[in-house]
Amino acid sequence: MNGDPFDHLKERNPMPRDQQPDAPMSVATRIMGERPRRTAFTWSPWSIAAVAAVFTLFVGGAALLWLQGGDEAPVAGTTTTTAGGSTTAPPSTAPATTRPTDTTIPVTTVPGPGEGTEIEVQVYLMSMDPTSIAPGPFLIPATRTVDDTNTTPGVAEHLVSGFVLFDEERAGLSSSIPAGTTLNGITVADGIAVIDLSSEFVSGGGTLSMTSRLAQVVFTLTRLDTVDGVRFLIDGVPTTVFGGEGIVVSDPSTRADFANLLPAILIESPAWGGSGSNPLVVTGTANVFEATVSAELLDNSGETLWEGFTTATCGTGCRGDFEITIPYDVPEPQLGLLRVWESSAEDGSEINVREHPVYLEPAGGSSSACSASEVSGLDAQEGLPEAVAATRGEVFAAAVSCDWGRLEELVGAEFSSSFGGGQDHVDMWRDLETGGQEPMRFLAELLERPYVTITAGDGTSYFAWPSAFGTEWSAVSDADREALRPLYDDADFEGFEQFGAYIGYRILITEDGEWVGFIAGD
Amino acid sequence: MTLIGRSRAATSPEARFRDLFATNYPDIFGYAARRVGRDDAADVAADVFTIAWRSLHRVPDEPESRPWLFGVARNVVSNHLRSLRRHDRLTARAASAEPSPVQPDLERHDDVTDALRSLGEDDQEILRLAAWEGLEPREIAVVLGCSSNAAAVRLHRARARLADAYESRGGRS
Repeated sequence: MNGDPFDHLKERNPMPRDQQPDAPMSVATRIMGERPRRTAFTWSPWSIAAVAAVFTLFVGGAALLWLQGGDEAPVAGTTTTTAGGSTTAPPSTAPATTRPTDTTIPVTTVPGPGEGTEIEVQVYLMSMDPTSIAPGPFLIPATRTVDDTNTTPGVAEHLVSGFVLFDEERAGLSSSIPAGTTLNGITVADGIAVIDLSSEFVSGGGTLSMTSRLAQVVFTLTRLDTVDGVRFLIDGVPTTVFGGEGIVVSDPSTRADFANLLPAILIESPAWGGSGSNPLVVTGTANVFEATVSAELLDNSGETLWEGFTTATCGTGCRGDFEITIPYDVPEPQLGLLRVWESSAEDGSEINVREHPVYLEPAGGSSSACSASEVSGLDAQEGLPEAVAATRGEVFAAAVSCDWGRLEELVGAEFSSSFGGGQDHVDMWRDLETGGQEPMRFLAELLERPYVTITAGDGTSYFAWPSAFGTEWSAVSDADREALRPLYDDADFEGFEQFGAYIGYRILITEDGEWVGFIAGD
Repeated sequence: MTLIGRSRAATSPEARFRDLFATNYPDIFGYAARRVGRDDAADVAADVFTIAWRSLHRVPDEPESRPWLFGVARNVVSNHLRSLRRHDRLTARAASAEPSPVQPDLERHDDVTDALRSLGEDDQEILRLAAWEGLEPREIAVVLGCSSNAAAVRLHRARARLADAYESRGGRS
C-alpha cells in the first residue's frame, strides 16, 4: 500500500468511531450524585447584549429597579439542585433543637436546595486496605456538600442515603448502611445527637457490617462541632443493642466504641475528595511504627509536589494525633493526590497506605497573586455621604489585598455581580483572578474614578463608579471618558459606542452605605 | 426585561451535564479505549466526566467543550497508566515480577503502526489525536495546551517524520 502514511494510520484506528458505544446515561446520573463544586457565571455574548439592551431601554436609573431585590427581579440565578440529596423524611415544623422525650423525637426537615451557602462536610464510609496486615474495612471520611443553614440534618441525610459517588465506589469506598434506610429525624442538644432511623438500618449484614454502619453514623455525627456522642432510635425506639449478634453500644455512643475500625493511619482532613487549603494542612490519627507517618502530595499529572514525614504524638502500639502542613504551588486549581503511609519496620516498604484525592488551589490571597496589589491608595472623594465613603474605603481595602473573606462579609444579601449570576460572587471573582482576569484590579481602580449618583424609580439613591455608567455613552463627557483610561482603550470605547452605553465593570453602593453591586458586561 | 436572565437559567447544571455527557461520551470512551484498552475505557471515561461535573463551570461552551474533555482525558489516561506502572512496581516488589499490562492501543504490527511507534511520544500523541480522534489543529491546541498555530506546525512535522519512518520501512504494510 502506498500513499500518505497518515491516511493509512487513520485506517489503523484500533477502535473505529462506529464501534464506540452510546453514552450510558445512568452513569451520568451516578456522577451527578453530587452538585458541581462551584457554579460561576460564564460571560457570554448575550450577557453583554443584555446589559446593553437594558441600558438602551432604561437609561437614567429605572433599570436599577431590579437591584431592590423585588419579585420582578430579572436576575435569574444559576440555580443548582441536589440530585442525590432527595428528601425522604416526612416534613414537620418541629424545631430541630427541641429536646426529645423518652421515646419520640420531633422530626426535622431534611436537606434540599437551601437559601444558605454550600459548605463541605464529611461523611464516613468504609474502605479496605490491601497494604495493611488486617485488610479492613476501615473508616474513611468522604466529602459531601450541604447548605450551611441545614448542616446537621444535611450531613445525616447524605450518610443515611447510603449513596456512594461513582469515583468513590471505584476507589473501593462503600457504605454499610443498608439501602432503603431513611432518616426519621435528628436533634442535637447538650452535645448529644439523637438520630432516629427507619428499621431498614438494622436489617441484614453480619457483625462487621452492623458495627461498620454504627461507626459510620457515630464518626460522621461526632465530626460536627456540636456533637460529642450519639443516641440511636430505631423508628422512635431508643436502641443500644443491635442485630441478632447483640452488638452493644454505649449510651451515648462515642468514637471510642469503634477504635477497631480505624486504619493504622486515618486522615481526618482533608477528606477523600475534599478541598485542600494552601498550604495543605493534613490532620489525623495514627498508630504506626515509631509514630512516623510518611506523606507525599502529587499534582494532577502525578508529579510530586511535596514529600516528607511527621511524628504522631504516640506510636508503636498506641494511637496519636499528627498534623502536617504541606506547602505547595500549582498553576491552576486541580485534583491532586495526598498519600500517607507507614514505612514497614521490616523492609521499609510502604504499608498502611491511605490515598485521598484532594482539590488543590494555587497559592492565593497573598498580595503577589492579587491583580489589585499594585493599585495605590484611595483618595477621599467630595460629596459622598459618610456611610458611602466608609463602604468605598472598606471595599477598596479588601480588593487590593484580594481579601476574599472580607469581601464575603461586605457582599450584602441583595448583592448583584452579574446578570444571571448565582450567589457565589466571591468564588466567581476568585475564579476569574485565577484565570488571569483582573476583577479586583478593576474593582479597586474604578473606585478611584469619578462617581455618579443615580436615583431609582422609588427614590432610592445609588452611588455608582465610574461616572460613565450614569448616562448613555453619547452623553458621557470627555473628562469622564478619559477617566476610564488606561483600564479601557479606544477599542473598548468603540464597543461602548456600539452598545450605546458603558458596559464595563461598575460598582454600586446605596446612600445608606450598602454595597449592592459589582457588575460587568464583559 | 424579565426574559433577559432566562435563557441561561433554563440550562440547569444537570441539563448541561447530561447534554455534555450524551454528546461526548462515545468519543471520550473511544479515546480511552485506543490508549488503555476497552476494559478500562469505561473507568477512564467515568473519571473524565466526574471531573467535568465537579468543575462544570470551567467547562467551556460548545464547541470548545469537546477538546477540553480530551485534554482532561489525556491527563486521566496518563494517571491511569502511571498507576498501572506503580502497581507493577509494587507487585514486582512483593513477588516475582508479573508481566506488565500491555498498552493495548497498537496491537497490530505493520509498517504504519511500527513507524508510528518509532516516533517520539509527543509526535505519536498528536498523530493519534488527528488521525483517530479526528481533531482539528485548533482542537488539538486545546488538548495539548498550545496555540493553534503551534499545533498545526507540530502536526505537520509529525506527519513528515511519520512519512520518513514509513519510507525507511519500505513504505509497505
